[in-house]
Amino acid sequence: MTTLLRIELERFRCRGVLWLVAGLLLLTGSGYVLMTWGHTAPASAAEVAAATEAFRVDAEGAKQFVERCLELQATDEGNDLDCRPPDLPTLSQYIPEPPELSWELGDAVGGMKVPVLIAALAMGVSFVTAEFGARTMGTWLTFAPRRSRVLASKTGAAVIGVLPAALAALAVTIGGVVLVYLVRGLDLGEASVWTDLLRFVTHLLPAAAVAAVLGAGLAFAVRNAAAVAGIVVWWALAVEVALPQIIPALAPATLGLNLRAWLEGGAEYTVQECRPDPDVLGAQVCEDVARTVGSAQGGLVLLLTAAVVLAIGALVFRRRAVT
Amino acid sequence: MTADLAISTRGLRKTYRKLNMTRSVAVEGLDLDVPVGGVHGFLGPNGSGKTTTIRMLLGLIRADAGTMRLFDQEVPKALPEVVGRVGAIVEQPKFFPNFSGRRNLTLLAGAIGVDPKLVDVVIADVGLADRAKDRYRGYSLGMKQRLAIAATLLKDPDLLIFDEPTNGLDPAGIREIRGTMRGLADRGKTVLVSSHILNEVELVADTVSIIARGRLVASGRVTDLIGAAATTAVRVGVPDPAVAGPVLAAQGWSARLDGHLLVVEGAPDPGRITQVLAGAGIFVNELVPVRADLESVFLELTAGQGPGTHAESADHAPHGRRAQKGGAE
Repeated sequence: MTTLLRIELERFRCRGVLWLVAGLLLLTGSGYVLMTWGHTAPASAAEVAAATEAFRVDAEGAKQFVERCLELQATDEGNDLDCRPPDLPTLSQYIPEPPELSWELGDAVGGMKVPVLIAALAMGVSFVTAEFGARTMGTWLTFAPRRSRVLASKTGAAVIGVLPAALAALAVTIGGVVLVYLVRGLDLGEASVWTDLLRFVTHLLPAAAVAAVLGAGLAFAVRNAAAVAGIVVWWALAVEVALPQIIPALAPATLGLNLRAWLEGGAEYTVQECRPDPDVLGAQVCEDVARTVGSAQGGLVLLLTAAVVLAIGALVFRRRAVT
Repeated sequence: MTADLAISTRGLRKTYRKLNMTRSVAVEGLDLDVPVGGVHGFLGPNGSGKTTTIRMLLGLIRADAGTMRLFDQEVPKALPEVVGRVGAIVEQPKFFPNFSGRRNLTLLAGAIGVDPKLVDVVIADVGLADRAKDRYRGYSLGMKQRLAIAATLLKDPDLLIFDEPTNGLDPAGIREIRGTMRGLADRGKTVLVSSHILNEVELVADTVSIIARGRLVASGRVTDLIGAAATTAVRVGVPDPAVAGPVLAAQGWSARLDGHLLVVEGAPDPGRITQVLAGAGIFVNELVPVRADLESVFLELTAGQGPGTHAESADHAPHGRRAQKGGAE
């Protein structure tokens, strides 16, 4: 088994498409770093000039207000007026300031969630379907005939192979954003930033592993990348989008909600609860009630889904002819 | 089942579901015995079930019914134990196109725990040493086939299964493969070769099994099968066949015109024909005994049993010929 896993990892390492997907993931992370660079740039001369002008106009307005107020105060009508000058902001508050690191990191790493999961799914799918597509599986099975071992080693390699790519992309994103703040000489904020970030990353990586297992399982079941894509799109539209709208109580069955719950420490959904209207006979009063899916429940549902899909893939792989 | 059989199947059956939900029979109650040692030809028309049988033996397809044994071990149950003794090329085997020939074989060697150094040895054996570092996708058809043979040799198997190994090869390539198969058999290996190039099989095979519509129709030594089909026909060239015909017919032999030659059947030996014709003042300028070959035996046994025809019992094989099972003993 270890030998097969080692060989599958070697194959994973040598697949150009998987490097391409990993490269795109890194590129996406780099994009967030570039955006941070833009967000944290010092105000330009034009922005400073515009801020100075806005400050001057407001200060002038305040001055005029005080003058006018004092004039009115001098009269009988305005002797009860409070003519203290309003609290004017300082000029620095008129100049755009960079966002806090916690906000920028949350935006960047949160934005990487979907690309990481899609990349993990795609890698799992591609790694398995390529072998069926190239018709090398038949050759392989004449050397390693235990199909369950072949499936396990291939899925294991997909999971192990996906993690470094996801980790590298997240490292580039987080490291890049922090580096931007250091280069700009900006405040890194409080330690709680890192606690939240660590929690998110340690939940995203297992989710990526689950996505790779899902991809491999689907690929073993249908053997064709286009067919897997079709199933994923159908699931997204029919189950993730339409089902909760038609039957809100089934929202906890969607992967999207459970994924959010797993990654964010819980997720809310609303259901309508109705009771008889005490004022009108036969009528009902309905209200939206928020319910919560916990992080552990979300993780469990994701894990069970991956296990079921992999089991289906294994069953099909064991029974179906290999050409 | 006996230990002197490399392959043995009994009542092997495989059907495929068609789009209209009916089932087509690919293999129907096949009883196949391949003795240990030598080259065994596995012949049959296209669609007769050769590749399906091989795939079932290798566990790539599940059989609907019947039993299969490799070296007296039941497969696919015992396939993991016996697969190390079996090297196979099924149709055009595929390797990873972006890997070099050597890397492909190194990965396969790893799967069966073979010393990676053996990879270079088998690559050299099949004459691919110069191209071992090149990507598989750049290989010619012949090179791909040779790499596949090298892959089977990695295991140093006792049984080699070659399914249409000469497909797409040029004459030199075919000759090489033939030499390889013969060489392996001479080293004590068992080689099962399925092919539709019958003269190639005849040149290399010691025994053959012929199947049609998924059933065995004949099996045995090549010489025995050809011998059984041999006739006493002789092609005779004479200046005037119209005159010679009646002379031969007067002896009670049949003589029919085939082109400019007479085909004479029923004569005890060719010498008698020359004697009779010379006695009538007709001098023979050509005398060729008509020999049966594997192709004629094959065509006789499988006539009208191409793909799409209905399965037929071996007991009712064409021309009343019964399968000669166990003819190799």
